[in-house]
Amino acid sequence: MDAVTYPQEKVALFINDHFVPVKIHTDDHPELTETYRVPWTPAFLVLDGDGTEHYREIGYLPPNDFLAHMTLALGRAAFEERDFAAAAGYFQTIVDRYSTSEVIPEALYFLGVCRNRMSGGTADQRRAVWKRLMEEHPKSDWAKKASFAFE
Amino acid sequence: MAKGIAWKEQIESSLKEAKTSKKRVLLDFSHAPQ
Repeated sequence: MDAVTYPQEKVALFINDHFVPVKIHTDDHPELTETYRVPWTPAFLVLDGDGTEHYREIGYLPPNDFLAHMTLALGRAAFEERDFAAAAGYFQTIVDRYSTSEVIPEALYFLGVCRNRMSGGTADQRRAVWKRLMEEHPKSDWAKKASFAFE
Repeated sequence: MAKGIAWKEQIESSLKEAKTSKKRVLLDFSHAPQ
C-alpha cells in the first residue's frame, strides 16, 4: 500500500476529504489486533465518530480498487445510519466512476435499496436498478439476492 | 502498558476529530516496514 496506492495523489486527496486516518503497525501494537479482531494485514476498518465499525476489507488494494472500496464503506456507513440519500450518492459514484470494480454489484444492490427507502422512493425505482444489476452481473451473489423481487 | 494507553488516546482523539469534522475514521493495519 505504501509503495503503490498511498503515494497516488487522488488517493491522498480522497482520504483527506473523507477520513481521519490512523496507521497501525501490528508488530508494534499486537494488542490492537486483538481489540479490533485483525489477524491479517493489510486490513482497513471504517468507523464512525462513536467507534462503531461500518466496513472492513482485508488484503492489498490497488489505487482504483481502494477508492471503490472506501467509497462503498462511506455508502454502507450512511446506509446503516439510515441516511439513504447520502448513501445513494456514494453508491452512484461507484457505478459512475469505478466501472470495472469488483464492488459494482454490491453498489447496485444497495443503490436499489436506497432508491426505495429514500424520501419519495418507490419499489419500482428499486426494481429498475436491480434489473440492471441482474442484466449486467447475472452471476454475482448480489444479483441472486435481488432476484426475489422478480419472482 | 504506557504504549497501549497512548494508542487508546490517539484513537479516541481521532474518533473525536471524526465526529466534529463529519468524517469517518480509517484504521489502516499493516506490518511495520522491515
